[in-house]
Amino acid sequence: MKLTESGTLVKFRKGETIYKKDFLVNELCVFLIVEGQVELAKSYNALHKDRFLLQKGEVFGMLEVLNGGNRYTSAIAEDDVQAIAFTRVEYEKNLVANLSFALLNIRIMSKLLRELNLRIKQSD
Amino acid sequence: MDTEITHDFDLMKLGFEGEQGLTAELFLKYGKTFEPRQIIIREGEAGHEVYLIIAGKVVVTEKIKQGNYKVLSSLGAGEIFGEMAILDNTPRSATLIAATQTRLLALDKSSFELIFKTHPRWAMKILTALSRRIQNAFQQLEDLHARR
Repeated sequence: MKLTESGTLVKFRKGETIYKKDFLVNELCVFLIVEGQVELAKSYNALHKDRFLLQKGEVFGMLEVLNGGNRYTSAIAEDDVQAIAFTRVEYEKNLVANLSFALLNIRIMSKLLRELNLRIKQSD
Repeated sequence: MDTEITHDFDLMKLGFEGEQGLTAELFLKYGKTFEPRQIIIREGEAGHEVYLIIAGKVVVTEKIKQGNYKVLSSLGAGEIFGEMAILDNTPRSATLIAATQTRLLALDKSSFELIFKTHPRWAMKILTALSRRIQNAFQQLEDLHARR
């Protein structure tokens, strides 16, 4: 998958918060994981928290870029992480120009949606 | 074959601004119409097509018992479903039923990719629709946990 807009290589140490739930979206807002794993975490209250683990080759941070608004989840580096970070403009250009990248995003978001729907069924 | 396609669907949502002829052409090639209460896909089945809603409303359901389905959410024009079956070869995760008369594009993997290549703005539209569904799912979970 060659990305036409290369983005910026960023590094996070294990345990470092990449972004926090409810915070505004920064300029570098969407991340493609090059090395390591990232946990997306969403706390509902003191007792309930959902976690979603993302691997090398997966993308995160795009939900709020596509929908607008603040971060739905926090993102935390599970290992030492290297990622390519995109601005909103770079991300959208890559989606339009790169079929594999667009399909990767659809696959990741569909997988997340399935997991969420399963948790809704189990909680109901 | 009926070549007179009326455009009562939301072309803006589908990313086809000003391209009604093109949408009609796609509908002639890939279009399917479902009547209210007709099952489009069934949970657990293998699937080879992704569906893009052109017009109408589809409900996502869970089978409770023979012939009874609980509605989990609904989808409208511009939204896709069934994509995991072609992207990950996983079985259908829910049963989807037409709530109104519904027109869809039914696309196999190669047609889906071909349309993406030809109309790259689709990616944005489809991902935006997916992100809205994810946002709604998070909201549902928040509401469920708040009630406890």
